[in-house]
Amino acid sequence: MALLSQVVVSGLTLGSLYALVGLGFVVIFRATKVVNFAQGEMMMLGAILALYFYSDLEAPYSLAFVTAVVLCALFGAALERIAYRPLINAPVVTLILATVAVGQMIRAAVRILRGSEVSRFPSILPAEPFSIAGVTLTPLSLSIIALAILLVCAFMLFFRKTRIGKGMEATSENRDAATLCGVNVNRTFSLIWAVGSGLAAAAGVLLAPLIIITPDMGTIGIKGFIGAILGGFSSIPGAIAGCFLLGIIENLGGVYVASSMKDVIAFATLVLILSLKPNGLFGREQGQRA
Amino acid sequence: MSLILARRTAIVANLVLVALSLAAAYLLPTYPLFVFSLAVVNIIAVLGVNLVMGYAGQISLGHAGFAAIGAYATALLVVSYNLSFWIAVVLGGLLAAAFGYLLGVPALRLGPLYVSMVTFGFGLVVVIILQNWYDLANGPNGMAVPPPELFGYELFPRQFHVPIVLIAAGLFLLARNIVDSRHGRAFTAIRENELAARAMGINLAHYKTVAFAVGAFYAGISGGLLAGLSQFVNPDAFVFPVSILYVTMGILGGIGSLAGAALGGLMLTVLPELLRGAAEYKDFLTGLLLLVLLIFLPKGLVGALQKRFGSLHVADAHAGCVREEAGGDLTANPPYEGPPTTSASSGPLLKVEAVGISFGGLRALQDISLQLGANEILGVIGPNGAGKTSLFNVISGMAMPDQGRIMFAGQDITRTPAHARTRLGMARTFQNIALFSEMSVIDNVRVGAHVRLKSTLLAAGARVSSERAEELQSVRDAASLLDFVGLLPYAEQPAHGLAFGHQRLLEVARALASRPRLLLLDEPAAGLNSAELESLVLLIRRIRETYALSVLLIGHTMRLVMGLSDRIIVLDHGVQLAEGSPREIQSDARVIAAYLGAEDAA
Repeated sequence: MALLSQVVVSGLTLGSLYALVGLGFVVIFRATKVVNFAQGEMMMLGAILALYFYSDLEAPYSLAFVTAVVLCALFGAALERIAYRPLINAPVVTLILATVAVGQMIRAAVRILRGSEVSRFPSILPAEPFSIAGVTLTPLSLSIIALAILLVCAFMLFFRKTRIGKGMEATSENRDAATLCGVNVNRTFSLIWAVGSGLAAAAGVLLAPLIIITPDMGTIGIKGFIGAILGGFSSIPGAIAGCFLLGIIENLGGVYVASSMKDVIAFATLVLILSLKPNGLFGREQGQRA
Repeated sequence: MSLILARRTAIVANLVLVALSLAAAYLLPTYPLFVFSLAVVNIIAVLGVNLVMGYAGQISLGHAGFAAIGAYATALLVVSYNLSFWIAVVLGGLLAAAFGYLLGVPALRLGPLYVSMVTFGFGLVVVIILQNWYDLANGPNGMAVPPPELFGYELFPRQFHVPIVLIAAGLFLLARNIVDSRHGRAFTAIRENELAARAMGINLAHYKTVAFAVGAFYAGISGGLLAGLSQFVNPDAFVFPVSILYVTMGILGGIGSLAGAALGGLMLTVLPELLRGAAEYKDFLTGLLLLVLLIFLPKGLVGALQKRFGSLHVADAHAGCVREEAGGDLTANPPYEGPPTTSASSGPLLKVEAVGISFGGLRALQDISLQLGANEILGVIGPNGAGKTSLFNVISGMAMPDQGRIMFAGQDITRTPAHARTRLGMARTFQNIALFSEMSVIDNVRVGAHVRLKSTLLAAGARVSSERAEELQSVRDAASLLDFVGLLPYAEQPAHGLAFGHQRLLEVARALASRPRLLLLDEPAAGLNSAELESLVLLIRRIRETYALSVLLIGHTMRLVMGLSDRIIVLDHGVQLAEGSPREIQSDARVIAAYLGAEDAA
């Protein structure tokens, strides 16, 4: 029983990071109908940049965090301008391939610049465990969950309440109508890619102390997307709940099946959900108007 | 140059190409020959990617996973079961095809988002499993494969090159035969316009899964041959960047062109060898190349060459050849005999009984009933938002009613999917033109005849004579239909090049190609000028006389509906307002209030 609750707690930690990176996926997907396969690489880039600022340049943690996120957001906006905007009228499949190409380039570039070196992010908080009701917790994992949830909430407020956020939502719903209402669609698209990439980078920085940093850590990012599909794309809270759920399912599978099979379990869950409930667990039925 | 001559030249050129590739086994030094063999093996996989992406228009990010299944199945069958290498390769290909089919079942009814995720995940999962399954094939260390044997001789890479080239040539031919058949046209139709493909009676789920299975088969064979060539299998040969490499090869050559697959596969195997860089540089350049191609050269090298030299599309060239073989003037053929005469069943052809449908609380149709007799033209009119299109969708199967029943030729079709209704003898046109725009005019009509053609995928792949005869007949039928609507001179042009009015006529010809008993026309006059409108009225009359079919005509162009219909039904706010002859409708006070008064009666 203690083991089970332990697994659930570490699943929640993982899930909160999935939620952060998954939110970035959802923002971009809702606006562009594109699955951003470079999202995981953006996450990796965020982690590596933060590591560079923190360890090599000895910047304070908060500064390293913010700089990494801002740089990735700018990079996301630049990618939108250079790589994706020229394809805005191409079939969705073409855009998806473009993100795949970008992801591959980032991964290879990091490997060229840095080698396949494996690094650990020095822990900023004491990893000394304490236990509550038999469940071992660390200040590190707790603060990661708290920070991730805080970021998700801040983002939701931004999306729902601010003028820019509403413009993004309107652009997602109908690009032409948004233009007619005076939304600068091009700027909004840049913003969407910037925000999506920034969220991924934030997830990467937070994730960094928990796992080892490698150029291939990006595949974890894809799981934020699987979590979002699991929960259902039509509602952002549903997508986030799905990410938490995926974190728990994976950790349960990791403990009770085999830890090397975590990714396999995530994808098996995806296929299962798609066969049984294509709109996700918490998603609305997509009303099909002919 | 005559088309037949052009085709013969192409055949000779291809034979020379194959002969040169075979001669390479004796001419090239060991390492360049190995790279060449590798390129040919890659080309096979790229042919598979091309069938899935270029023809059926489905994204595949996990093709290396299928190759892995083929490679490991071959290796294990040879090593553990002492099976002949050649049988093992075929079994490996079939196993990969089975995986492709299964993967397609949940993924393909859900759109590109899910297909890209599931294929990506599949490729990833295959590699993870292979890396961790030590008992199967030594996990990440991989396993050795003995050299393939032929007639008791062991084939080392130099000898093995010959069978690889021959197999690739055979598979190329197979792919060409499939592409140039009713199955290939169905793939392309799905890529061009899913909605219209459904309306032509094409079962989307079936064709998409079949495309995935065939594409996976090619990858599986490629994997098996790779195992034989390198005499080794390990998971690293099938990681995600390999899937991306296949896709990039296909796009470089020209997606939707088989020659492009060969060109791209060859170039992207040989060029990186010349660079001799480390793997990460190759990955970076592949990614960069893919991005640049997508932005600046989306149709690849073959597409660019075609644009430059204005070459005909392969399928069109073929249709042209068939035309020449048929003796040039296809219109001299006996006139198209029309739909099979109905068993003169006593009841009406179409019966809609108390049908209702609502969308999110809005009642779009309420308690609508109508009947349509054989050889009758029924008009449905109503102001915007009256429910005309909803009624049309319910009858054609694009939407399912909440209430009521629809009978067609004495059969309850309320729950029958759209593509199956076409099979029963319904055909439709689209208000917003939905042609297969990259296909030729004549091939559009041939897709329309999809439900009448019977050849199986295997018959098409083997190009048996009955399949050829059926294809020839389909060209003749299509040409005679084009002649009927006056589009024969444009038969081999791409459909998107037609003038707007001609596109509407092509929609009609395409719908007639299935030999329907009921023709559903959705606002056929929208966007036509008055001269075009006149000829459309005449055409619809001629259609009724020549083909003895019934027509359900939806529209708000009064001149068209009033001039053609035997009877008219008026809808307003989802309910049936009136029914009667055109004259009765024109003098009905309620109709005038709801409709004619609100709009210029034209």
